[in-house]
Amino acid sequence: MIKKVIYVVLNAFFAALLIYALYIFLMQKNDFDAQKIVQNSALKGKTFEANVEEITLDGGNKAWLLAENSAPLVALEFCFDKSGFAFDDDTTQGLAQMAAEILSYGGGRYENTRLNDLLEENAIELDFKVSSDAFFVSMTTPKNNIKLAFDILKDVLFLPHLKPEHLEIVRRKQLTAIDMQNEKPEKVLNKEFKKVFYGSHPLSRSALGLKEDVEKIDIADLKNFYQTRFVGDNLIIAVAGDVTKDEAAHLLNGLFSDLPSSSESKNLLEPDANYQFEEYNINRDMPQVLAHFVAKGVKRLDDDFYALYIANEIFGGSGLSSRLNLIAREKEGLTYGAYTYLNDNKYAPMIEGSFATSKENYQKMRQILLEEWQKMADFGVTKSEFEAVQNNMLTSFNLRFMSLPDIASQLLYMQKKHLGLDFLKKRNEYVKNTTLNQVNAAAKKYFAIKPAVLTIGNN
Amino acid sequence: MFFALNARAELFDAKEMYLNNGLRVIVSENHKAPVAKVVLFYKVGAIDEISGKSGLAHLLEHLMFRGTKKVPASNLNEIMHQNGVEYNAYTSADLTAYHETVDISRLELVLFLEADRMTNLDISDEAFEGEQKIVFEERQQRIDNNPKSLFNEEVHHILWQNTPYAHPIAGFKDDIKRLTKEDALDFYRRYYAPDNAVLVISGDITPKEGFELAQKYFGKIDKKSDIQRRFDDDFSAVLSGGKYQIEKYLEHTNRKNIVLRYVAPSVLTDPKKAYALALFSSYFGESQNSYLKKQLVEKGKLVEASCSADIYSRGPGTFYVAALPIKNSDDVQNFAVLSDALKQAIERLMPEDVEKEKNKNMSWFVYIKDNPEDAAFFLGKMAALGFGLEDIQNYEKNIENVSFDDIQNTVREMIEKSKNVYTLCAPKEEL
Repeated sequence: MIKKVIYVVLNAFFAALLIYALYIFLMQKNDFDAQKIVQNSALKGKTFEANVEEITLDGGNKAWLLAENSAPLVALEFCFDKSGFAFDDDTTQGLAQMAAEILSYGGGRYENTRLNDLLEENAIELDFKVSSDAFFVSMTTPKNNIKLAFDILKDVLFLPHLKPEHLEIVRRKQLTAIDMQNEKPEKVLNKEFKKVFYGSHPLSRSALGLKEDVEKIDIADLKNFYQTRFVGDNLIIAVAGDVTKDEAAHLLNGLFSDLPSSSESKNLLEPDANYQFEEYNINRDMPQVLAHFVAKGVKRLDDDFYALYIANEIFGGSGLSSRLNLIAREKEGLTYGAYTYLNDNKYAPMIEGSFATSKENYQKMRQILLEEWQKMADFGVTKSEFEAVQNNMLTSFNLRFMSLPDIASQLLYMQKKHLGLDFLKKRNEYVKNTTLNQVNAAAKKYFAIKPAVLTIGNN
Repeated sequence: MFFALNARAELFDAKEMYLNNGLRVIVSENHKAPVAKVVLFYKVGAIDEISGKSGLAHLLEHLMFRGTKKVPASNLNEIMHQNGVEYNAYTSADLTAYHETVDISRLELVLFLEADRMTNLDISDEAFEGEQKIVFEERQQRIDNNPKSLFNEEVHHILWQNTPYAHPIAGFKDDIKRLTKEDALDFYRRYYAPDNAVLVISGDITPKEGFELAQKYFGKIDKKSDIQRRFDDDFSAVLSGGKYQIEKYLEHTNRKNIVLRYVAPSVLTDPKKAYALALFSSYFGESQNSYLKKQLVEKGKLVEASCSADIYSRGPGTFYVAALPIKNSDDVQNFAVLSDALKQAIERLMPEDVEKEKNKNMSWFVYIKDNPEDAAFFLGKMAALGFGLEDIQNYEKNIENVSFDDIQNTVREMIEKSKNVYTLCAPKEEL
């Protein structure tokens, strides 16, 4: 009897133990809850205090400043709009790029060797570059060298030496780069894409320009470039770092004191962009096929911007968790990655995308792209996909303030795109106010027409 | 002189501690914005692969995104995305790094995820096969599509012959196809452990908070203690000699380019010489006023020229000089131009040049205070190579202590004794 009782008790005990062990095991398997970790985290979310101030300069130009003294550094970014390579004359294609390159060979009181010694010894970073529409200047300097940095910049920018021997160095480099444009398949594809998309419009050009033009561009062309492009009407300015509003105003007034206010700067004609060209292939012997595709997008201030931005993130913009990558990369292993992004340029906004895949996989990959594209138009996105992207945009907001050059670039972009001085205060509201219905309407509208595809390889 | 480094004692506001399981944790403060950079370095890379299994370290890096017992399948990507995390990973010859940029409110979450995949990796056969195909496509995209990249891989192999550095990080095509899930898990079990890793948290956080979080999420993971490295550190064959010259005529190549590569000292094989070489490299070809630009590019003997000293490696480092010759230049002369420049530069070097170069090099450290990402990678890489925090914080001393004689001796010795490979890449059909 007692034996039996012990037996039953023991059995019950082991059964309970087993259930408990199973419970622990299951709990361990399921004890992960990302939301819970975030909610219980001792480190709570804070929003970066982005107090952007506007400075009015003597000549009437505005500069945007974010004063921030966590490191003894100052970042300055400015650009002359309507001065990029698409604004080069038809017979001087490549001029803007040469005008940017030759500035690092000295100006005013600073001869080539001395200039570059001073920049390095004082840790002043100075960079000139051109895009299709603007000429960009960026400078980062330790605070204690800021006066020297602005002195140097003023001489280099407005009193460039433009010595013939330096022009020849710049010319040689640019002609070599033009020759090498066809070496990498990505570059060939990109060049061809601009040609088919923009036709003969100046936006189809490359920054490097044409060999025959670069061969004969001379000092007079460069002088003419600076005189007509470096004017107040074209200027947009941003500053971030360890500097007060008064200090910044003083430095910028000094820098731009001799700047003429206006010139007859031209506008580009509206391009007749070809969003629906027939698919074709550039033949090249290589193991993969690279594809570039395009469809109509929206300008930055369009009412559909945020809705389409979110739709695109879900489709192909968000990296490894986008629909395109979940199917083509993760499920099928067809590609190292397929990506899409919004190109919000003001002339011909696009949804652009690209992928690379072994040539035997190309048809399958292409089919996935077109099927998923169609699904966006037909069925839109789900609530959980929508919320995931919205969450992403809100929680990644602060990442744009990582470094001072990042912040200055951000302020410049805000002005170029006319987002408003208070954009950083309002941006999260714009995201929160975008609804699932708006996203689905945008998906339906912009994914209705299938993308035009261009490839390189021998598929 | 021009000592811009007025805040040098605080180059990094960093503190470190070791957890009981051996995990080294470094916290670097930067309170500009409520963000943080997390970098987890594992002391394992392509040089730890055995021959025939090249690409394994890189494939495993990919598999680390394919699921654990707690965060199955590709949930990791979904969670990272939903929480606004910018994340990635890379594999080098020496190290493997996983890194995240996060809003401070998501720091705990990514620490949980990193700790979880340090020990709980659990991948299905399908995930393994899928990722094997993906790394194959990655290799084709990065290397095989482009004849110059493929050629560089061959040259790399010639320079490092039978040493572990000969492995291409992406892996040889045939090797990638033969790798098995068991290979990957074996590699994982062997090298992924707290006592073979360095965790850096850089950003809006105090050391105390950082250490507590590291303890909370990584503290319970068991140490490995006896990591059996397969890394073979016999580099005598490449450190002493052999000079190779290779000419190759390639498709899709429109201009000639020439490269001279030397096996060189590294911060681990010979720190004094490595820093001497780094300073020389800066003098010789890294800036617009360097010897190569002034004497060759500005005088029209080359279109472009530059050099670099790759000194942060577990084995020997590499010194490269690369140039674009003038059109229609003579191939025999091109080689002479580079090798003579190297010899002449070291003959003409003056003690004052060295002092100037030191000041320039040290002045840039001020920027590390601005960007928590740069700080995290620099701290993490040096720590993973085995340097103490004090050494890293006093990093400028390494440069300050280089003497004029150190540079002359190091460069002369390298030119005379080290293995080197000179290559000329030319268009298959002259333009």
